[in-house]
Amino acid sequence: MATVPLTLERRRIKVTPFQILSYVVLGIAALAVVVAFIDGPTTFMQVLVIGLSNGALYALIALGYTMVYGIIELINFAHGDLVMIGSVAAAILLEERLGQTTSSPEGWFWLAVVGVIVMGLCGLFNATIEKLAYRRLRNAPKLAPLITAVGVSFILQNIGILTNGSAPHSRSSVLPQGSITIGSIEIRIKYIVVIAVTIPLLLLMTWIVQKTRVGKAMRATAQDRDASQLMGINVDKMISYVFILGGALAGAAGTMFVQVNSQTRYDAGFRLGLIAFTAAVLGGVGNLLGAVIGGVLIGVIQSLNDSGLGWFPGQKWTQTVLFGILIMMIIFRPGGIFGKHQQEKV
Amino acid sequence: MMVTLTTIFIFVVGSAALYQFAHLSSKKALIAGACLAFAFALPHLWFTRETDGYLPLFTIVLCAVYALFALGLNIVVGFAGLLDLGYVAFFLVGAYVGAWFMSDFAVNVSSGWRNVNFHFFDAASHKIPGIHLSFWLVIVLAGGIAAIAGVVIGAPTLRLKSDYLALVTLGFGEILPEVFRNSDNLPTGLNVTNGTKGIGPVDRVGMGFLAAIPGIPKTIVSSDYRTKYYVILAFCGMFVWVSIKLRDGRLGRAWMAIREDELAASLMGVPLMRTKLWSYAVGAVAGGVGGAFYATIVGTVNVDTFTFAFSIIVLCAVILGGMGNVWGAILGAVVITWFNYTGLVWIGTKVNNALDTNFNFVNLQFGLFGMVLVLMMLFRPDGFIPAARSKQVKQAEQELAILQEEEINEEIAEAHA
Amino acid sequence: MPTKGRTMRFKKASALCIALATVAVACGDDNNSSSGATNAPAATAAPGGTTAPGGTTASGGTSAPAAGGSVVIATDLPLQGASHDASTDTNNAVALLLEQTGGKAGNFTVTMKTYDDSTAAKGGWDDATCAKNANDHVANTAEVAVMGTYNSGCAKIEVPVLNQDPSGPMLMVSHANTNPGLTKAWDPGEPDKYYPSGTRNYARIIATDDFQGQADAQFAKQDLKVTKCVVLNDAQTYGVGVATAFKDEAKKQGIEIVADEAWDAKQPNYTALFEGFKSLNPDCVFLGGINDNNGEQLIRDKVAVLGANDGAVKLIAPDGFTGYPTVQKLAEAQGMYISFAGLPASELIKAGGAGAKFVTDFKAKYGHDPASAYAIYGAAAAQYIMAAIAASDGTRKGVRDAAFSGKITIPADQSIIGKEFSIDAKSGDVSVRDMSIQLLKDNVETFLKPWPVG
Repeated sequence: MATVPLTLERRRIKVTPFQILSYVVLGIAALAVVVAFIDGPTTFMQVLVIGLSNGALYALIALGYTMVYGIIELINFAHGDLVMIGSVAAAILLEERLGQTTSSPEGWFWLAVVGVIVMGLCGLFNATIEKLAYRRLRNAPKLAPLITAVGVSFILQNIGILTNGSAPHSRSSVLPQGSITIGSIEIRIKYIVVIAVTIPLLLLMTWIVQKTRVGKAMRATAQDRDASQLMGINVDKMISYVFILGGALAGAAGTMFVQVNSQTRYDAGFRLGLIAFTAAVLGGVGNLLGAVIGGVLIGVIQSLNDSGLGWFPGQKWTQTVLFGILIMMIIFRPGGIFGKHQQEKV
Repeated sequence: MMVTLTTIFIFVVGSAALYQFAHLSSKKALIAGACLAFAFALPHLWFTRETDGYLPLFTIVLCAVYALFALGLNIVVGFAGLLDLGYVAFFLVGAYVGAWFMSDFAVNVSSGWRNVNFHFFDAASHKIPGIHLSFWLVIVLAGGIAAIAGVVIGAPTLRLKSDYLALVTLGFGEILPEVFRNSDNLPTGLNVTNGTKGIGPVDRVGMGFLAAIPGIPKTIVSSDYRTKYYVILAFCGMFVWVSIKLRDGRLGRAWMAIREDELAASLMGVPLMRTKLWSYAVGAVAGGVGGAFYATIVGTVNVDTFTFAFSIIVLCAVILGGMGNVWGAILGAVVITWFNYTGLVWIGTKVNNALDTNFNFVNLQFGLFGMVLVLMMLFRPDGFIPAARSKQVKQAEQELAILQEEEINEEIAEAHA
Repeated sequence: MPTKGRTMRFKKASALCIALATVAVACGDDNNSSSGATNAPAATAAPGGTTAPGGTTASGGTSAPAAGGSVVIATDLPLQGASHDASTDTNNAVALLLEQTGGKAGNFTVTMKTYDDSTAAKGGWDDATCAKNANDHVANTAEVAVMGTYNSGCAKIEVPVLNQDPSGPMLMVSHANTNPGLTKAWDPGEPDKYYPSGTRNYARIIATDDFQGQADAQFAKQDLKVTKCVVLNDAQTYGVGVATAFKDEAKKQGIEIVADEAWDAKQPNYTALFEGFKSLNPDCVFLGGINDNNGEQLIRDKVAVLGANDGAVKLIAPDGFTGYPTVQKLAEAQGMYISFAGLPASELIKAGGAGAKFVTDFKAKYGHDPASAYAIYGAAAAQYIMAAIAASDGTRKGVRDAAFSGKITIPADQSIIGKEFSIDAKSGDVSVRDMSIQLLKDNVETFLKPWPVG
């Protein structure tokens, strides 16, 4: 790279070997999915539903990541742990305070109430963390807020250990545990519930971001912070709103997580967070729709991998597969599957 | 008696040598000499115990090992400014190299290897099959292979921004342990890592001709922490010397340039790729050597040891002590390791006894680390002992700001005139 | 700066520092020269032997209890994570034993010291902590033997260290390690690689996994009449070992192993994993591992995908799942079969005798049944150690020699496990082998039947 661009505008870049490689990898991935389907269509469909359900949760979490990154260019390492906190809070509220342990209309009502409460709590918690830990470092070199985020992640995990114990804690679920059968495919109702609950939340998010004034202000701040300030937008407030929204989504994801898995564990956040961030990168960081699609894709791939169908190596290789995807996306296609190939460095 | 004499000897000779050859000021030379003597005398002091108490020998040895790790990470994060969150990968590689070549593992690789029995200057009984090399040779191997791993891991990150760089290194730090965990039944039936069963026991360390020195045994028994400590101390010392030499040389200046402003550095002719790869490689060597040491200290290599938390602990040490400052890295590592292995429990017991409570302080380990990271970043991002260079940079920035202000004031005055 | 002034200041400062350093080190040196001799004499002794006169070891030299001295038995258990309750009750049982015997073993006064080989971060046993504990056992001269560990992987780390104790080897008697490699040929190099000094120092009082896996497979075939099994393991030493034993015997019994996989303890759920098995139509699932590794989620998801345990697909688990109150209370776990390499408390009570009395006394003192059957076996292991101490001279070498002399038998009327037992002098394995099959019913592990082994 001998020349230095004098302006920083995005240019139409000719197709590089990296790009070709990225298409090849995407192609192999698609082929693997097809092979898995051929290997066991019934299992494939059942696993697909699980994948969509997990993917919905990952989409919620990924949105939080991508919004925060879009507005202050920070990878919020603590976001996954916020989901864990949400799950513990939801479990404690629902099971211990309200005594809801079985599937019933009363249980579902209280689940909705607890869900909203936890969303609010997590949103406010997230905004508080931003104010205390990240705001001062907004103009510091990149290392500082990243390390702070890691520190916050550890603090949240400790809160998890103190409230949940260091071993996985079994919880009860108020979701219906039965299943419906379509043909030879058995689909568990709780996964459908998760998907059904996530879709309205996503639509609500989209509406807030696209159609409201506040949403517009947030988008403007993400695009150009200084210009927004000149236009009279309170940048600090906008960033707080973004954190509140992201935190609320994390709380929702946490509530659903504990209901689907009937378990809370203090170290769940780390994994969830990284999976969700992979999803955000897959869809193009800063791209909200991309985060959702990325989340669903990652969820499906993870489930397919767990089941061992076709070429997929099985559960003991899941970390490798997921991180492999993350690394390859970052190196070959940092703009995500849908993003334009952006030149990140000189 | 011998110990007292040797300590004084080290102090006097050390201070004099540093004063004379390293051209330190007399004050600094004395402090450095005293530190050296203290480090030497540490296992013999009255407040050091074999076990229990607030400074057991096991912890001191671990402090020294983590100091080595911190020195290595200091090069990547402190000197070159590359946020490496996957340092555990080098630790892993070093430990496994140590285990491969210092235990009977080789017979497990495949059925054709059942009778492998190769010994080369090692300290293990020749009846034990497997590949057994001399510890000192294995250290070199571990460092070398770790350096290669460093280049391999670093290569994809060369063009990335700091956030993505952190993620990619984190990714490698997670992938490598999983690969090692699953490599006990590769397609051709090869067992390369023994999977989750771990590899052990690891041979003892033979001291060879060093045993001629009074006080040094022929082989280091597993409970002999004093000699282990001295060996690691020696390696730390070597690595400190290497760090300082590199820092003050061309490579070090190139690293600083990259850390401060990559664009400007490349414009000034700094070869970005090569410089970054060098930082990964040198940092990895420390990780590899430390890993091989760790294998001999614990006596087994178990893949569950290599977690993300390790990378964070070492990062914590570097940041706490002062990024880019060699002595700061050592200080940070000692403080954090002590706290992690002994301090928390000891303080917890004292507090519980004093207040008559029964709170399990060990449960606060994560939170306290997190607090340290957050507070340091908020209030003292340069660490306890900021690197001299960053002080200079700060000073220069301040002077520049003052000059600019004066210029602006002048222009305003002129405009009004 | 004038060099003369510099040199003067340098000399003055040096003199001061030398004085300070001398004082500091001299103090330390005095203290340590006495302790240095009693601790591992790295400088003088060749490994494995000492030159101290009198026949006793240097380490035992100054603090070796003469007849009538006091010794310490250490317990080494995972106190964090899922095993917390079981480990605490094991320590309680050993404490009860000491209380009942008045803390006396022969001429010696015995006390116990508890060690934790786990960390909160791991939620279970940790290898560096095991190594540290092993070295602490060696360094604490008052300790003469170790009761533990619970996890076989931890024992594989500690035994070689205890074996190389210059004043020993130091005895370790486990109440719960079942991986065969510690005492018998299993993986290449085992068991000799854990005994570098050539002398055995490790014993256990329960049967090993080759018997347990075998019993489980035989039970599955003969009683449950299954034909296709899914075998899972938790990718740790114990789990892989018992799963392998199950598989080997299952094949001999004519059971088809349709899947043999490791489960990842960190996964939040295993539905997709079990979906992958569903199409293979298994009629049993074997969980080779410990519950600490997310066992409950595994059980829940097995039931969610493959149906309840009393239905078409049976669930069988080895002793890694026994003694966990959370498992016992889990609705989905009801109907699962859990084997145990010994006799559960209920059987001890039924058999009457010393065992029954001990269990009753435990309940009276601590107000609840022992959380795990292993707690009682912990006391039995301590009982054997105390018998060895009584027959020894109170040094580590003496205790180990007594334990492996083949001459110590705990008679049936005193044995906490209700029957006479002794340790084989060559291997360290126990003379009685009990294998129990239990059924989890109504939140209680109920004894189903014994299974003859060996």
